[in-house]
Amino acid sequence: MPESTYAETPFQRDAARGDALAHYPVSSARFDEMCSAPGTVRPHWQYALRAFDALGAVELGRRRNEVQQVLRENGVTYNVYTDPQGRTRPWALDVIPALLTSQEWRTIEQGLVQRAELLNLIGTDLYGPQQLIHDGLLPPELIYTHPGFLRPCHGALPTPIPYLCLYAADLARAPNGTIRVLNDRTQAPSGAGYALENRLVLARILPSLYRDAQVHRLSLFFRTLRSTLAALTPTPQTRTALLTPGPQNETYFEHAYLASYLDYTLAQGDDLTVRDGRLWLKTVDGLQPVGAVVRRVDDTFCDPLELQRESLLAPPGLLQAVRNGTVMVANPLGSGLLENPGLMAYLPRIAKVLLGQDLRLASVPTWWCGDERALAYVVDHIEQLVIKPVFPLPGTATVYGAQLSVQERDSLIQNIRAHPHCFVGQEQVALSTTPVFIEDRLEPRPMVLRSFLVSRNDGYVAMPGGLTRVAPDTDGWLVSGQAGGLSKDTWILASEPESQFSLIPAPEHAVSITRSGGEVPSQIADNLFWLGRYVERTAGGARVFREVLQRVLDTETARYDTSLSAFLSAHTHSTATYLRFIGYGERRRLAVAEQELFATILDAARPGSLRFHLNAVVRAGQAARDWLSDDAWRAINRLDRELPQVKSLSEMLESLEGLIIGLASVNGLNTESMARGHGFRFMEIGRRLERALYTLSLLRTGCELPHETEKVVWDMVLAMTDSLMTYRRRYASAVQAGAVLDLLLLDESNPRSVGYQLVQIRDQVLSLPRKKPLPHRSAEERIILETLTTLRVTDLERYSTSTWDADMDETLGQLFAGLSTHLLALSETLSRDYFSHIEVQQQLTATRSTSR
Amino acid sequence: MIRYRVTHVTEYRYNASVSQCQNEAHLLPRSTPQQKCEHGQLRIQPSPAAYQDRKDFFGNHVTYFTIQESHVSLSVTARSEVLIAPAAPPPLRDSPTWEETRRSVSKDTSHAGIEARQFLLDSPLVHSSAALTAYATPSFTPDRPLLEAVADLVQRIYQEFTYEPEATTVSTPLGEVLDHRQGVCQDFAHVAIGCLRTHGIAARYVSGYLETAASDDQPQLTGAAASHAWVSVYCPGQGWIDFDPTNNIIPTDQHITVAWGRDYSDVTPLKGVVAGGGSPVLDVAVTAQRVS
Repeated sequence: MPESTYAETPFQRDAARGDALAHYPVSSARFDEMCSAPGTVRPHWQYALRAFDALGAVELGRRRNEVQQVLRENGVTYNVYTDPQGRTRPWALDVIPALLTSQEWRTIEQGLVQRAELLNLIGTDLYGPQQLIHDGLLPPELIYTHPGFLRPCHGALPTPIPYLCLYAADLARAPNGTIRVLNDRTQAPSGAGYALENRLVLARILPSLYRDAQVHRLSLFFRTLRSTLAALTPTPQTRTALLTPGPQNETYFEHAYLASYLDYTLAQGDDLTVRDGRLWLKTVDGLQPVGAVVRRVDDTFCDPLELQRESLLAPPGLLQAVRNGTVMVANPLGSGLLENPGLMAYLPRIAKVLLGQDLRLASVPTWWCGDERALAYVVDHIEQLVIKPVFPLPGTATVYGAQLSVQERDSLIQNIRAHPHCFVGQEQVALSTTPVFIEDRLEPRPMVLRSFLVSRNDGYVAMPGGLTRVAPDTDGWLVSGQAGGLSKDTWILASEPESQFSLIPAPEHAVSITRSGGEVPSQIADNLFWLGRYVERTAGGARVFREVLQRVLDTETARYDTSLSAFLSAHTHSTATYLRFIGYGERRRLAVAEQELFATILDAARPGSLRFHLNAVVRAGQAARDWLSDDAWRAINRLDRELPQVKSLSEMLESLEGLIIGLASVNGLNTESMARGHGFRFMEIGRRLERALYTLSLLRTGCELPHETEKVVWDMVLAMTDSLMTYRRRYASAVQAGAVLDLLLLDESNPRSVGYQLVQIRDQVLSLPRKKPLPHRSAEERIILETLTTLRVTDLERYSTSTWDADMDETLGQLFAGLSTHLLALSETLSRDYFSHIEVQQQLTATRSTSR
Repeated sequence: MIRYRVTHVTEYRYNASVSQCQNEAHLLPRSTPQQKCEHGQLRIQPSPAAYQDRKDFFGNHVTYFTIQESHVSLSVTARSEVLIAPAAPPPLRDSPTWEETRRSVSKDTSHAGIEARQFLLDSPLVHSSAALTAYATPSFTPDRPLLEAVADLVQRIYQEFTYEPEATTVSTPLGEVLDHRQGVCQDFAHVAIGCLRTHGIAARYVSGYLETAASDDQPQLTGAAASHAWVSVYCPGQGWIDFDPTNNIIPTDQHITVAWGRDYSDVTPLKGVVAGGGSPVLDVAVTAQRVS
């Protein structure tokens, strides 16, 4: 296809109309992916550009919003360490894809495959005979000074080879159009899951363009990953764990997403243990063998016995299990060494010697300062270079020589001279630009493409495309998720139609029918239990606040009477978080109660606020992500929006309504979509237990209030438990304590009653995995049976009179307190028996040499 | 040949039970050109569920073991017999100058040279610093023979530092040892290593034992001793030569080598991770005696 000129595209019409898409400056200092010159669109962009043009800026803007909405609903996030609130940031995806022709991609791909093979050979050698060092192809200091060279891993090579299962490279295009490698990622490359999610979203938002453009699919990459790991797993019929540092990690979304997509068990360090020389997953059913680990934890943190001693991110003994050959870890422990940028300076020669080939995909020109001549060059040319430490170290960042003052430069040079082995100088690449849809027009932004490879028995397979990231501003040099910025789907445009692959990985062998769905890791059981509790606690809180707000709005004159404050106190008691309604200064604070009320609902930083509990729901949901149905997960993500920072009482009332419905839909979807395994059981027990505690707390408050306010009080209790209609249908008369107590305490047919919750808990507890053989009762069984019996033998007859005495109050108070205590004991027993196989782990004081 | 019988007992007593422990030990002596280890064995109580021996990156014996039954104490007894061929101390004046050594080692591409070059670099517990350089400088006068310079440095450490077990712990940083001039053998070894490396001399950490009684007319100090540590210096042509800054001597026939590495962290005699255990109490006893 000949290059057409700008004037020939419909774009020009927009320009004439002053339309949004028209303004696209092309700088001569950088290569632009779309335009070869101002106004000249590269052939492989023309079709897409016409399509965007046909959509127009308004429609593109609408689809951009749709992209963000889908990402938000799918819970796609990227955690930012600097966020003081520790909140997750929604993943940002541009609506315009990055485009490459399959012809050019083939060249890049060959280069990537060669590079992966080369790094694989280097890793195999450095953790084995180290011939490269002894033959003078690598300086010993380059390896021995790097903290990524883990001596305990030397000789612990995985069998069978390959060394490197996964490889990723950050690619940049120089102004002359050549592609260069900026970084090698050999440790635990992140981004493949985001690339997949980007693809799914964009294919949905731009369906016809995606179909017509004949984009290469990503699924083959993930299928190869699965089959490669299956082939390398030393013990068949074991599970594969995806080891994550946990929900605080910046790319935790991806860990959960990939685990679910690849059907691996998402595990944190605490979930795993090494016993009998092999790796196990702790589940509520006991220990289950693990044969392979895909790690997203840096290798230095992967064994507190032999590597970083303080680490809790992996079980002690993992490295010994690898040595024993009972588990394979991808990538192997120690592979972080290959991320050393100093290696780049030596790759061309090593490629010649080991492969007999020239390096097809050049690195950014790199000088390792441990070499005297290279050091001299770096010092002389420091203004034109990027200075990087060879390993990430606190206090040493990547520095752009051009941006330094004279003093800063001198002190940097001094530092380099003092530790020459620890630095490289790299040529500063003016990254190529690609169009990004900003506000209402296309703007060029510097980009970096991260590409992903996985090993196969005959070499490496590259994901066609990858994750494109663009700099947050036009003149950017640095592209990083932490610094903010946008991602893009990357389309390799097929020249010929491609056969369709399913995105659901085809199984390596026929599926054997099973109904268990896997054992529940203890940590997941714990999270599901608390998900159940937090959902219920938040819903209960929302009902209390709703009721209070309604009363306040109805009776402007009688604001915040005793009963309102009593219920707010009840809320705080039941959540054991003691808000500021109670205690010293209570009266004064209730006078400014509206402000306090808002803070109690919305202030996430205040323990016990509604927002605080809601955040706990979302966190527990995230931690148990791959045990929830997709719809339930989306419903949980939506909750995040339900408590906006509103200003007026009526707006607040509205958001509480939304929240109550939202929580109900989470409960509903969980009940409807989760298989009745142990995972569901723990969530259900958590939910019922919390509801019973909550109802008991409301009833106790009702009984404690002065009896002259009885009617109002019991009305509120019924409303807060959503039982007003049931009551009215049964009793035409005015609300009366005895009847309310029967309905909310004893009536096992009322799904809001304490009795009903206890029966449900009993049924679930009886089905939990048993450690003691029948007929012995487990501790949980004994507690719940005793609680239920206590309730059932309670005689409420004398409460159906309208006259109460102090003795009656006291008896009831004791009953409520007793039931609550039992339920809390049940919660503790459950967590002791099922959630924490986890004892506190400690390092022994190492013996030191103290002789004289 | 001198034959030593070595017993090294390490005992942890816990005030809460331990359900599982995993340990790594550098307790069995390696063989070297001057020494041969016979009948090395570990006795572990309670008996371990898994026990594996291997050689580490530096060629030392390492033992991994795990105990999976609930226990309230752990006792590890290393016994071995070690044969030592006493060597005459090297003539200090005959070595090349330290400047010459510094030049040649950094370019040495022989197998031994490449191995030695890693001991020029910073290691987990020994980071080069201006303070180390400054402390060492008086010993490294121009054109001084390497071994003479090292002997002088070792003597100065011996004279200027006080042996004080309470002054440091396993986690006291080197800079603090240098400031306070107090510590134990492993601290002095680290100081010496840091001083040597900042002057371009390859130095490694040696963990081992000192004879508990030198001769028959001295009383036997049974069980009173602990394990010992000293340094070794790479001298091209002569290989590795040991120096003991704690006693200001060049080891000949009273030092039994167990393991060597870049610093203590590479050859920790016994370390472990336990589940439970409360606050453990540690006891160590060593005897290293000649047998005829």
